[in-house]
Amino acid sequence: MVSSLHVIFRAYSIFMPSDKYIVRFSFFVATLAWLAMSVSDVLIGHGNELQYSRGLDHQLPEVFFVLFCFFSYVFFRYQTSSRERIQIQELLWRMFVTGLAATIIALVLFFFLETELGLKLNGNAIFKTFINHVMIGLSVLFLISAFSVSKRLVLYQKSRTLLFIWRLFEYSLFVGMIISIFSPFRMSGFQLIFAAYLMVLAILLSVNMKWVAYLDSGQKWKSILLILLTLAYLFYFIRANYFNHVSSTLSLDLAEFPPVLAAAFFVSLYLVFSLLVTLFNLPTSSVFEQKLKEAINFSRLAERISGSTPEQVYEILLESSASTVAANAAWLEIKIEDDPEPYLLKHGISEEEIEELKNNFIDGQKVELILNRHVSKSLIPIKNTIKLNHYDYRSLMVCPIIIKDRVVASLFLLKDVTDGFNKEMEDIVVTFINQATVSLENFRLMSDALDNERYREEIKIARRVQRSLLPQYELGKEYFDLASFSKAADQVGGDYYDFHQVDEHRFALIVADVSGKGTSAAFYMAQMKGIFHSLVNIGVTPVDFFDLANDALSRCLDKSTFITASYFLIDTKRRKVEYSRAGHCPTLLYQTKDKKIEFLEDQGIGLGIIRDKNLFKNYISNSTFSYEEGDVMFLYTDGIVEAHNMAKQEFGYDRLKMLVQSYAQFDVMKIQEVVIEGLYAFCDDHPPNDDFTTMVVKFK
Amino acid sequence: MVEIRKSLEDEKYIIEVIGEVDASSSIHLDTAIEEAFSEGREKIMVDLTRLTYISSAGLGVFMSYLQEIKTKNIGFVLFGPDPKVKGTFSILGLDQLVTIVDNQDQAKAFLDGISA
Repeated sequence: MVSSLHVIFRAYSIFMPSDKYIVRFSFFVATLAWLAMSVSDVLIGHGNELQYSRGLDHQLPEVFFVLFCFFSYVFFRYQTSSRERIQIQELLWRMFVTGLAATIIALVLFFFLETELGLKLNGNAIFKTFINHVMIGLSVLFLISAFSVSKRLVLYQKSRTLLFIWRLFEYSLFVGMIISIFSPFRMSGFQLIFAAYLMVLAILLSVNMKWVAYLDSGQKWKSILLILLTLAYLFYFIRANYFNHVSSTLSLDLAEFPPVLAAAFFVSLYLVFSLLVTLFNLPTSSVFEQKLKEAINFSRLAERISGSTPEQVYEILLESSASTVAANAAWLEIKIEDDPEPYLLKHGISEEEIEELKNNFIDGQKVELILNRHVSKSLIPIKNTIKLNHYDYRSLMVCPIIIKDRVVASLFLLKDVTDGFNKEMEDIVVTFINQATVSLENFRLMSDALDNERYREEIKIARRVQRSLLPQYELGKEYFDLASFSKAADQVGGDYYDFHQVDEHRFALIVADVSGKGTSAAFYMAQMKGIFHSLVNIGVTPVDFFDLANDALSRCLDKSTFITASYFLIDTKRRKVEYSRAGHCPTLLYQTKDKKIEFLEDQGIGLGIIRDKNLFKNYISNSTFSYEEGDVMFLYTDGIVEAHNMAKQEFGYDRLKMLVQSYAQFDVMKIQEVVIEGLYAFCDDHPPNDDFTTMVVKFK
Repeated sequence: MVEIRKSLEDEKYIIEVIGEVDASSSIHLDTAIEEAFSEGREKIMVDLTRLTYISSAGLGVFMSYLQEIKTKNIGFVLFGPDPKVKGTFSILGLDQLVTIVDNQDQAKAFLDGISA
């Protein structure tokens, strides 16, 4: 069903003649109709003289006349296609040109009649009738042209009601024409009512003058001239036809067609109204022009600032505001981060002049008051305008541009008259600023998003680099087993562990924890690695290592940052471990011979706490223990013991001690796994909110 | 979350630290001590009785004032930490540098002692 409709529609659109053909066809038919009208009328009126007595129907000329009118209307209707947007001026011009052409032809004809030949011919009744037919044709053509232009003007701004009234008028005229053929106008009751009805419609339609408002003053003057001339032609034709009517010997008479009279009445009325309205609207046209300019400026601003950089947005804002309120000069102060001097954008004013104005003429306090109006709790409304006593400038308007409650820029507009800025101007500038603010805000959000994306990338790199700082290799396999694990609470952390083979039978191990967490801790962690690797090969004792490390770190650690660490030097030949604890959580040592586990709680102090090289040694000690096969060392950071669950309980030292003790006979991987799993289970599967590290050593 | 209360008793300035001091809340503790120092307080007692947890960042705050305490000869004493908090101080070794006593009376006595 739908598809068949579609086919029909397509067929219709193919066979639907284009406007061009309609125009040509209607012109042709109208000409034929006019000729037929003329010939038939002559035959009826002068049949005797022409020895022609075939009983021609008396209504035939009228039928042809109606046809002529109808096709002329179609011609003008399609000549100015409703689809294209035609300027008002152009419409009035067409109407005027048709009128002019018709009048010239008519005048030429009358001049011709004054000539000898004309006078001779004029004696001929048939020729006289023909001349009258020409006059009727010209009048009707001009009338219909004016009528179709009036239609376009009336319907310049359509509404359903208006369209309905117009159609009613149009159809009534058409129906009236057809009726007129068969019932000559006799001032009967019905015909009078019909004429009155047409007049009422004509008056109703004549008050639609909205197009006048869209003309600027120049266009209004031109329109007045065109309408005036058109009216003159119209008057000429009405007069000519009236006399024609009086002296007519024709069977065809325009007066017998009330619709023609109604159309003439409507067109005259409408043109007179148009003339008056245009005339009276002349003084207010500047207001309309101003409003239009504002609207155009606003749309241009909105269009131009989308996709502009902030600098461009500011420039556009300044230009648009200054031109819209017709400011004599203007400038824009843009605040730049960390710079007390704002960036200046100027419009018709120099920097020196601005400086002079600000120093001597503008009350800085008032400006501040206006700019900070959004944060002040003042109950008195603060106006945007300030009076000036300057010789060039008499009034100033100040508007802040606010993003997130912060004044990012301020707009200054100057005028050479006192109270030069009215409420409307303030409003329009504020609207401009709002539009610009939206754009600036969008730009900021966009660049923030880009920055965030970049930071995320950077932090990913940092994380990768930090992972690579932790040892990825194995060593001393024939002397001990080693397992290690580290997890940062954030992307990067401050925990560090490392090991290194000092010589054939000596191995160094370190676990360290930078106070705090996150990025700053990660930097110090990297520093700790540097220190470890620069000292480890010298084969220093743990105490000496810390002494040197403390000295180095004291010079670079932030005031409130310290590093705790445990350092172990395993001598596999003597099966001894020399160690020192720099404020770090005490290492767990499990000894197989008595199955005892203990914390190595020797005296110690964090690195960077005592920054006096001479004093540090007093607070740190060196210890040694011997190990046997199966002994376990469990190194860790405070992230493990200080991890807490939902109930705010800490994992604690005792829990750790028990876990390691219970699993000490297993291999290092198992011990590590048990501790980490136990930790997660304790924390209700939430990862601890601090970095944590474990390192398990089992001696062979 | 941490709450800091400040009071003055017999010319002794008391800073009471309540709750948890971690990396983010340690700034409040720092501000309080900084303020006491800039006001020129010479006898300062820090009440840790109701401190439930202190992280390494929190310890760092105390650490950062050690030098100033020493050079300006300020009476500075911590009192009343629970065993766990006290353990945190001693593992780091900070108890060797800052006087930590069990209760307020001992803290007062300590401050009176150094002035005498």
